[in-house]
Amino acid sequence: MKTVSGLLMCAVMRAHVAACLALAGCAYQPGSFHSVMQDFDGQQATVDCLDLAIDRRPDLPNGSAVVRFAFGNRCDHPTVVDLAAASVVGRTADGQQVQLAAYDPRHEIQVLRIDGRAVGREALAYPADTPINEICVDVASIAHRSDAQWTCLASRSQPREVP
Amino acid sequence: MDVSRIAIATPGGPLSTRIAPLLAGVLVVGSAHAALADDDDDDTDVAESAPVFSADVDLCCVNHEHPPCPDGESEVVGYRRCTRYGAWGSNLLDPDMFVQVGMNIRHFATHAPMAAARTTTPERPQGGDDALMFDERIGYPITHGLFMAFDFELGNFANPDSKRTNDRDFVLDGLLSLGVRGGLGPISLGAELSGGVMQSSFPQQQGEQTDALVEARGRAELWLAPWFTVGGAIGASLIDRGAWMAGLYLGVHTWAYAGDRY
Repeated sequence: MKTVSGLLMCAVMRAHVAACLALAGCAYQPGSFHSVMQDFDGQQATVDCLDLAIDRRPDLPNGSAVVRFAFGNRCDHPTVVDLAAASVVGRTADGQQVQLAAYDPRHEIQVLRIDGRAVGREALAYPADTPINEICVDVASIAHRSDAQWTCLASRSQPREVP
Repeated sequence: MDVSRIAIATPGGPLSTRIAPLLAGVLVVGSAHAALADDDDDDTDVAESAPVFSADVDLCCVNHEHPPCPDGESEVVGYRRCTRYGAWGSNLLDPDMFVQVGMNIRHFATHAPMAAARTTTPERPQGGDDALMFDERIGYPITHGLFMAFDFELGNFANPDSKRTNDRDFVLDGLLSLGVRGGLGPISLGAELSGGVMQSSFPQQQGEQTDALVEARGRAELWLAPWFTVGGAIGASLIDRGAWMAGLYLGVHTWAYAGDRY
């Protein structure tokens, strides 16, 4: 049975390769926020070579807020994606502002480069002692830019622009 | 100027006959490896930290696609086990290299050596002969714009009953190339110097002959996608006047646009 499923998977993968080759659909088109490889749900922003879409996902049962980052490289050369360096701030129901750090028990999150015209995505959890109503992310920090560019996301994936 | 020819008596029959099982073995092992890799994809539930991707996914879009996590599996870093963090950038952790597969036509300025020609004509035939070659090429950039590559060519499997006794019935060669390339929009142009050895055999000739190859080549490639090219090459021998080659190929690069577009 496993052999059959393996062969089926093999056929699917080979078809996938053929489709990629035929359509040349692997390449991300700058500013499109679209890819056959993944979706770009949420708030959209552009920082240098990166097109970013940031989406608030349902909180985890332990109360951690979840943010999904989808990104595409607008340039033909590699560029930095540093989710470890992302500045993330949460606002509680009583208006308190707290600095958030991503849950990373295996120390996986690190600065990496993404290839030219490639796409990727990651979902990160941000634990907090109190429920987080709104999360704000400095998207410029992901690309190692110093000029802050904040994007805020309310819970239940309701985006709100912040000046 | 004729290339140097060294007659080598090789027991065990024609080279094409002896290399066929080797090629078949490589193909079978390659297929089995791919099948195993695909089978392993079913075992993502037991993967701890390094998920197993099939070779095809590695090739297509060079790791940019994550296989979908199984239903019920969290996609959140720290909770998920189906893919590791940063799989989208893993191709840049590999060396920048390219693989090209295609076909070449080689024209030889001279026919069979005197030993073979003696069986049919009293003088060396004129006009040369051609060979149709499968070409596999792997290359690495040395610095920006400068690359090296290794070519492995195999071909001209002639019908054993062929009456064209002056044409090679088997050709095998390996070449090392050093070249430069540059981009011009979606086109990449390059020039290179290649050197190596070629082994070939003729019908009704015992053993094979070994020739030196030194060529100047020009290449043009069109980027179909950031990781895929189609291209053509032409070249001329520097030691065998009148000998030339031309070929078409498909290329796969591990880095987008060969890492050249900064």
